[in-house]
Amino acid sequence: MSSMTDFGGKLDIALTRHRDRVWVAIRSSRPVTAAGVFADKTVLAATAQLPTLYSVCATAQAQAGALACEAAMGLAASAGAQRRRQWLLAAETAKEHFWRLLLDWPAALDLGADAASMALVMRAYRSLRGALTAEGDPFRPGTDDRPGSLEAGQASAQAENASAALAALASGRIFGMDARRWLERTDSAAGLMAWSGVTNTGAAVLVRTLLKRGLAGLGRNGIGVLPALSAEALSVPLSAADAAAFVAAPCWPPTADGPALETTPFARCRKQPLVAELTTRYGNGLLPRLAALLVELAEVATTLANSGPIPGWLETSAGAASAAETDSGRTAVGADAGVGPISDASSDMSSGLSAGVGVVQAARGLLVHRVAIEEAQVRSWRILAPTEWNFHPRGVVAAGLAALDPEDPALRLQATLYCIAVDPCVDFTLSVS
Amino acid sequence: MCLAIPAQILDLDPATDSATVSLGGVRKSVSVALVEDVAVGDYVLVHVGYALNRISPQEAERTLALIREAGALDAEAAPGA
Repeated sequence: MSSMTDFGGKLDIALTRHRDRVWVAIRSSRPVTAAGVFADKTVLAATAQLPTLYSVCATAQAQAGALACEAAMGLAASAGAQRRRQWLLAAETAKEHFWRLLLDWPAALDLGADAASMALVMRAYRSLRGALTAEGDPFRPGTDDRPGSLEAGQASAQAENASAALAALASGRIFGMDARRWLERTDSAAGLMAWSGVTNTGAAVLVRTLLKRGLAGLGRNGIGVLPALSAEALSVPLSAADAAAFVAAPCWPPTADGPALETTPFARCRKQPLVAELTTRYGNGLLPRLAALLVELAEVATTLANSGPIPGWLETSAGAASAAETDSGRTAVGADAGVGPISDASSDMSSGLSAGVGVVQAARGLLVHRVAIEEAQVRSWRILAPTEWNFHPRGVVAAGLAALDPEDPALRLQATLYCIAVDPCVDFTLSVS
Repeated sequence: MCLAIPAQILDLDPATDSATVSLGGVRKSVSVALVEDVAVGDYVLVHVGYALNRISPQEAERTLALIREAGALDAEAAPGA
């Protein structure tokens, strides 16, 4: 990395018109091996520093890291800490989806970003995070309950108020009605069209605009979605000799020329009735992607409004925190042991070296951490982030951009919109020639 | 990864809700529409053109030190490095 300003990395996306098609080249300078900085630090120091380094999705990163460390060390967080983790993960997902819906998508469609509403979201999110971390870090591996504290599950008034504020912002600024009611009313394409026709929120305008401009199916392509993978399966390429290459450009199966698959909100809820129906019409184009964001935000907002159970697509990963093997000879327990943390099968217990994998559904897709630990010291730490799947040189963005019409005068705008829709998380440059 | 970098506010423009910040010694314009009560001299975390949070000078220094450490590692791991 040449300077501090470059450290966050970026994506360089080049489109070349060639006869009747668009050629796409994606190059990444994202610091995919930066987690190596935690090697030789204590587990407690590393897990405390993790959200400082990865502060945008700090909760998902902290959760995946904690799960991996707990799996490696045979620890489990208390029920109260797990509840706080899940609560924060749901709120972080909401915050990120608000960002897409209030800032990124409207800006890409030249409709004007709603920074004022996003500022209110950020205030509520900061308040919630402050409340749920005030009495201790819920992501400290193996953290236990302290009776009478938040860790015992007693939410403070501040946390409840902040959750209610996030839910109210979803209802007022996105859906124009209670989020649960929106889910009921828009369980079909016809319902979504009807809602967008009579609602004046920015999100409804987004739906109308995609339909009016003929963009609902923009970028549809045949790239498949990443199947549910066990932590055990993921740990194999993450501990292989070429693990650095895998985390930079992952495929599944993890071979050099394996398929580059997608992990996004669309991939997560493609079977939800509204998204599924839209997919039959528009494939994996823009409107099904927008609908997926709306559906996930509505589900999370409903949870936050009622302090209810978190949606299944989040609970599956985060709820498996206690389903850990402590060595390769034990069997994981728990409802979703297949996607929870495990100890790596290559662990060498005789030397005191053990490894664990934590798997979390972050706002943008699957996030995986693998750690190797010896006597409470980190020996190695790898992170596999969703952007590397989605912006793989042969991945869903590359295929979506290649599906664009090279003769369309709006090619650059369409390409920008498609990149935003899949969401790179980092700055990107787009050149068209 | 999704990283936010600490930056110090050098100048504020309330009319546009923007600020000029020093990001690793490089001047850059960012939006401060998402943070409250920031002043010249404050440190903020910057991501894709927005200031996300105000942080203390101590937090900023700790974060910058960690990023420098990680950056050095990543440069070593980069192809051709």
